[in-house]
Amino acid sequence: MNTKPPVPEAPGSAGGPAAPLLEVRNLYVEYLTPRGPAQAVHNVSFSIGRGQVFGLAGESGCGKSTIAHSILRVLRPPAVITGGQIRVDGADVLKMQDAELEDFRWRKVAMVFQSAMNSLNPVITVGEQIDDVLIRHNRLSPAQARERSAELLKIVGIESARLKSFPHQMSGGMRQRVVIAIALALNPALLIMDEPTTALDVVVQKDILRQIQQLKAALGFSILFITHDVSLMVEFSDNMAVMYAGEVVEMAPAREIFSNPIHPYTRGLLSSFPSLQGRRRKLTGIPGSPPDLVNPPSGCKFHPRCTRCTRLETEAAPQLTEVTAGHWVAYHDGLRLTEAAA
Amino acid sequence: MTEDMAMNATTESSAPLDPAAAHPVVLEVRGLTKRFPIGNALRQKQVHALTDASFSIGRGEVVALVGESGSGKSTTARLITRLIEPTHGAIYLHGRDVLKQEPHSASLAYRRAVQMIFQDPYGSLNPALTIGAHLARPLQIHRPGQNVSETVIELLTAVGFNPPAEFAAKFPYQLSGGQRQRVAIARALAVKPEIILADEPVSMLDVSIRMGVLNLIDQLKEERGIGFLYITHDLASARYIGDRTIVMYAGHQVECAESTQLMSQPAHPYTQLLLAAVPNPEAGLTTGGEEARGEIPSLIDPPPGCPFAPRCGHAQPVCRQTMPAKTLLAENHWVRCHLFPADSASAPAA
Ligand SMILES: Nc1ncnc2c1ncn2[C@@H]1O[C@H](COP(=O)(O)OP(=O)(O)OP(=O)(O)O)[C@@H](O)[C@H]1O
Ligand SMILES: Nc1ncnc2c1ncn2[C@@H]1O[C@H](COP(=O)(O)OP(=O)(O)OP(=O)(O)O)[C@@H](O)[C@H]1O
Ligand SMILES: [Mg+2]
Ligand SMILES: [Mg+2]
Repeated sequence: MNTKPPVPEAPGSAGGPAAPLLEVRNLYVEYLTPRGPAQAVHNVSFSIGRGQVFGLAGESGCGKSTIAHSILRVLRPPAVITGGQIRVDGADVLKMQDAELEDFRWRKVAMVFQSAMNSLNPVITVGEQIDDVLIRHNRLSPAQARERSAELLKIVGIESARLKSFPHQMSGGMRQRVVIAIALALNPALLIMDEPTTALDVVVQKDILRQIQQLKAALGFSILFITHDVSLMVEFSDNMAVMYAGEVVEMAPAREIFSNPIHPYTRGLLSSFPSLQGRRRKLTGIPGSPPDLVNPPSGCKFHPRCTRCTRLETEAAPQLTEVTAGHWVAYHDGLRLTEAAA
Repeated sequence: MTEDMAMNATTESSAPLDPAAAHPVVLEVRGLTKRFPIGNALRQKQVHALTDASFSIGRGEVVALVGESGSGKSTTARLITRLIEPTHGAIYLHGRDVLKQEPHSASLAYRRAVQMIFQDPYGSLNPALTIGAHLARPLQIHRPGQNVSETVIELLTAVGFNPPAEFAAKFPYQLSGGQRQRVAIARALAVKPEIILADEPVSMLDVSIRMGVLNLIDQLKEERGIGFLYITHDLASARYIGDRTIVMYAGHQVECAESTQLMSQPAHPYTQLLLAAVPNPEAGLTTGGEEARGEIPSLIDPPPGCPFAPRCGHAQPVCRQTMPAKTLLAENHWVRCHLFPADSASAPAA
């Protein structure tokens, strides 16, 4: 597994005396299924600098949440990490013992799970749930905690009268916002947000992300941001990676991906968005269906759906290659681009 | 349910989607209002979750419902499915007053005709049942005599699962967020309903699969005449499949128009704020909707007047006193805003 050349420094980590806050190297994760192992994450490497936002985009089921769960070490069987390294602030996460992990999960990394809407305790008011985190982990008194909880709710745009509400008394988006507030309460070094705003209107969404940006500027934490909204990702992230079938197929500064996408899958993603202006046109998305992860296509995993590549599926899978400074892509014709330039 | 439901619709690109105007009404709600009591017996308060909502859904019509988080969109859908009972208001299915005729609980026929896709794909699937069982159950209840397992495979194929048989055997925890959403969609389709209330059905899908699902909705409305209430925060998708779009703020429907008209000529200041906040990589997070913050609207025993007034740049004294009535701006375009008084329907847009 280590025979592959390590992927060179990912964007965002280059230069600077400080090591990146998060480093994921050659990560492999499989789910053991009755038909055999499903390769949910396949040789994924990226890093996030301090104070940076890194976006992870890609098809539904391509392994984004699995990567997030690996970083937090919350994967359960039948998932197995079969290779790779994860470092947070220099510490080797995959080697941590249980005692160490407990502390790591609360103090170093906080996560807003994709299931956030459904993850609050149904029989305790949301105020008590936030207080509880603050009392246990930030050692505040109950009165201090209540005051801070109200402040946190304000950051996510919920009136403090709602501290006394139970989760079922809140809308989907309000529950999502409470979970964001809890994650912010912890002052983590790394904040992982997995689809944190799916139930928020764009006004509230923009407002919360701005507030998080301001907090980040003041406190210096880093963010791993997972969303299907590529426009939002470009607005909010410094660098981003696009995944397909468990692999990173393109990685670059977010604006670069937006203005200069190379991989056919990335291009498909960016051109499938319906518009708010002009004539209504029929959009079909990317033809074909998502790959079977137990028996992935040979060669480039995207080839059965690719309309651009001229190479045969029998050829080796393309490696992630730096085609222009800081812009990495795993695409045969992208490789040709560099060969021509050399 | 054959290949006519395949995910990737044929590429007759740039075919206009504009539907014929006439959609005979299937479902109608009038004055639908929901207040939830909260607090203890001594200090009773009420959450005004939904106030005076009226609209209809025609055969083969997609009505998009957009708006603020917490503004009553899911409450609207839950009232229509009769999961909760309204404080006031009426629901008509084919002109039949449902709450009067079936006062205690909805009939089996109503529950088949009106299907719901829930907002939270993590909370709406039973962890103990396989995906196949989730789809087989409604089939056995509502469509007895079918070849169940075959239909299950067809449904899973229709929402893009590959290979379908393997996914039928999986349990919800083995699925990603977007895959769960697709199961919920397949389940609503299983019983051949007349109306589907789809609460954020595609929020966790990548844009490619999302377009597949939206095209599927489009196809179902065209070919089977299913009417949809499509709840979403994605305004572009509301425009893409919504014949009409209704905008909500703090429990009130504040504007409604044909979707392209609404997006190109928004009248209500909240609709304008909403459209200005749509993510735009060219501009970035720092621009647009600067005035957005303002006061958080309160739904607990709210003050009189327009709920948007505290944040509105155009607010006048009257806005804090009374809720404006509907003003018709054009055919099929109404707004509730004091900037457009009822007797001067041609007032210029703000
Ligand atoms: N417990 C499990 N057993 C078997 N397969 C699983 C299990 N959990 C996840 N998978 C599979 O692993 C793949 C990756 O899942 P993951 O949740 O990481 O996707 P994702 O990129 O987060 O997708 P989404 O955008 O839909 O949330 C999916 O195809 C999923 O079906
Ligand atoms: N059982 C309940 N008891 C008290 N209040 C409730 C209850 N259910 C919903 N509410 C309140 O009603 C209001 C409307 O909620 P609803 O779920 O309809 O919003 P929504 O428009 O779907 O929002 P979102 O986009 O965030 O999902 C919210 O303020 C919510 O807190
Ligand atoms: Mg996920
Ligand atoms: Mg809702």
